[in-house]
Formats: sequence, C-alpha cells, structure tokens
Amino acid sequence: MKRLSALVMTIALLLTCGLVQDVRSQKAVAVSKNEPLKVNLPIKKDSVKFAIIGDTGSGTDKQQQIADMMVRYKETFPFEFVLMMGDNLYGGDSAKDYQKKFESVYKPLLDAKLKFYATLGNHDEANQRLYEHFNMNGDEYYSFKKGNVTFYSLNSNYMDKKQVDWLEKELAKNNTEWKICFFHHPPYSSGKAHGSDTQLREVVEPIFIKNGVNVVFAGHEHFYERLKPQKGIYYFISGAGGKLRSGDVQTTQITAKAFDQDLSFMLIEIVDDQMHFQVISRSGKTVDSGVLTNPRKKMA
Amino acid sequence: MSKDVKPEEIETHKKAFEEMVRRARAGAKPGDLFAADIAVYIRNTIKKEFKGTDRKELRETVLEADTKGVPLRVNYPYPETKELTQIPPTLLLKLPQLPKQVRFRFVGKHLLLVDRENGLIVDYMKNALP
Repeated sequence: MKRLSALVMTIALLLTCGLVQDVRSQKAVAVSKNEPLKVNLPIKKDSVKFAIIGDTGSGTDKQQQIADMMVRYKETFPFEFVLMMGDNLYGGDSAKDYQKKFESVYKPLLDAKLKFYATLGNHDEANQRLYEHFNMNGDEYYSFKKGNVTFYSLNSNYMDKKQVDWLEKELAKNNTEWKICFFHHPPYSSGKAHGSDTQLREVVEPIFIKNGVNVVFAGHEHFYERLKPQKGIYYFISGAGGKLRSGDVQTTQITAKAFDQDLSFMLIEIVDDQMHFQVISRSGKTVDSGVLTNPRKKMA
Repeated sequence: MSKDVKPEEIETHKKAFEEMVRRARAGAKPGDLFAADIAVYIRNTIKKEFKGTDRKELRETVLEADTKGVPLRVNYPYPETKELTQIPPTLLLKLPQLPKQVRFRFVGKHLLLVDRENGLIVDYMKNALP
C-alpha cells in the first residue's frame, strides 16, 4: 500500500512538474506575443537577409514555437531565405516525417515562398538532397550566391576526397566578398556532450584559411554559441531549433557568447563588409547580437 | 529521379530501388565486397590512423551513436530511425575511395557498406575498429 501511494505521489509530482513547465513556457511565449519585437539589425534595402535554424526536425511543440517566432520576426525583418544546419528530420525520413517535422511547422514561411537551404546531419538520409524544399539540387554539397555572399553547404557527415576537392576548387575560383560555409558538425565548440570536431577541423580549416572563408555556421550541439574568431574566421553554432541540451555549454577560452537555456534561431543581415546578427530565443528574447567586420577587408 | 521532388516520390523510389537491388543481389553474402585483402588493408588503415587519444575519441564517438539494433546482415535496410555515424574525415581520406552511391558506416565496432540511395547494407566487416 505504502509503495502504491509512493508511486501515485511520484506520478503526481512528475505530472505537476510537467504541467508547470508547460504552462511556464506557454506563458513566456504568450507574454512576448503582446510585446513589440526588437530587431537589432539595420534592415537596409539591398542587404542580404536570412535566418538560421539547426537541429530542427523533432516535430515538437517547441520546434513549432521557434517557427512561430520566426514568422513574427519576419514581419519586421523580412529575411529572404533560411539556412538549415542539419538534423532536419529526426527518427525517420518517411513522407509523414517530412510533413510533421518540416512542412507543417514552417508552412507560413513556405507559403510566403521563402527558400530553405539545407545541409545534412547525422540523422539525415542522403535522399533529403532530392527534396524540393531543401533546395540542394540533388547534391549533398553545393553552393549558391546571394548579393556579395557565396554560401557553401557541406556534408560534414561524409567529408570524402571528392567533396574536399570540390570545396577547394569552388572556393579558389570565387572572389566574392563574403564566403560562408555551413554544415552540421562544429569544428569549434564548447559543448560537453560533443565538443569540437577536431578531425573535421584538421581537414577543412586549412582550406578555409587558404581560400578566405569568413564565417562558418554549424549545428549538432543543441545550443547557441558564438566563438571567438579562430585563425581569422568567425564560427557560430546554431543547433537549438528543435532540440535543447540545457546546461551543456561549458564556457571555455574560445567562447564569446553562449546560450543553452532555451531553443533559439539566428537572424543575419550582411551589409557591404559588415555582418549583423541577432539570436532569438523561443520566448522572443534576444540572447546575443552584434556586428562583425569582414576579416579580409579589415586586413586590407 | 528529379532533383526537386516530393517526399512521397522519394519514399516510392527508395522502396522500389531497394526491392530491385535486393532481388538482383539475392545471393550476396558478407565478404563479397570486403574481400579478405581489402579487409586487411582497411583494418590496418584504421589501426594506423587512430592511435592513443585519437582512437579513444573515435571509439567514444562511434560507440555512443544511436546505432543499436542496426542489423549486421547483407541486403537488409539500415533502419531509417538510426543515426548515421560520421566517418572521421581524416580516416575517410585514407580509406579506399568508393563510388558515390556507396558509403562506409560504423555501427559499434563494425564497419558497414551502405547504399546511400536505398539504405541497403551492401556488406559488413566485424570488429573493424580495434
């Protein structure tokens, strides 16, 4: 009997905790709904404006709340496309998974004809490269240009010789002012669970340095981190678009700013030689923002 | 297969392709591709590439991945729900280059060859990771 009542008490306690947490998060979102959104970006006419989400494909309410917040921010900051840092679909790649974990979640953005550019994570099948809304054009790694920026989406899950050769060749022939690479595994990270991907770094970092890559965005870690520039390159982790590893960042010497208390996404605006960024949590709070100057331009 | 298709088309294509390959390779068995001499070469490469701390880190990454339940059976699909463990790039650059349709994958200490188009396990090599 004692055991039974203890069990009932435990279940009640767990339910209460769950409910409290749920109500809290809903309240946080509801409160910010009535507050004006603060955009710390210049919003210039001919700038390159985009958003970044990573590790999104959970299909949970929290992922939806981040998507809703993106829609709200888009009203003030009209970003034109979204970069996805991988782990786009957790737990399967069936048609239902695409529907539940991507299409229904980002429906307002897709309806607004916003383009998503994906990269593959360690939970993503290679066939995602064929999916119409991931704009990978059938390739696991690819590049595209927007204004004075060229973006390179890499498959860090399988960095073979073909890809390395392709990357070197593509970067070398390109003189765009900004060269931005994005992929799933972070070369630098202060995460306890994963940390820096040193094997990947050993291969890609010399290529980035040699060919003037300015900025790298990654995911994999379920939090946000801005690293101090490493060998002249700015590194960011934005991997909390659908999953959170709360308390996972151990602030290290390479950390400039980190946030692991809630899901988040990034807004970016590139104006000439400056990259403005703003990081927003699920509740609409700005957790980091700033402006970076193109390191190559700075040196010139 | 077009380069901008709907999820249903990807799913249908994958299933049809899987069936086709499974039928065509009905008699396939372990070691057909990882032939004895190739297997020795791969084992030695992994052993040489990963020593000391590097090997410890690789083992941790590979063993902590969510790959429990992946069947070690030729012509069986790699479950969609399971993680695709990253192959360390420094190792990948030293392993034999494969056609782009086939991939190395670690599952625990075992090394698999997986068809990227349909997810079928093409071959496997037990205890490739020392």
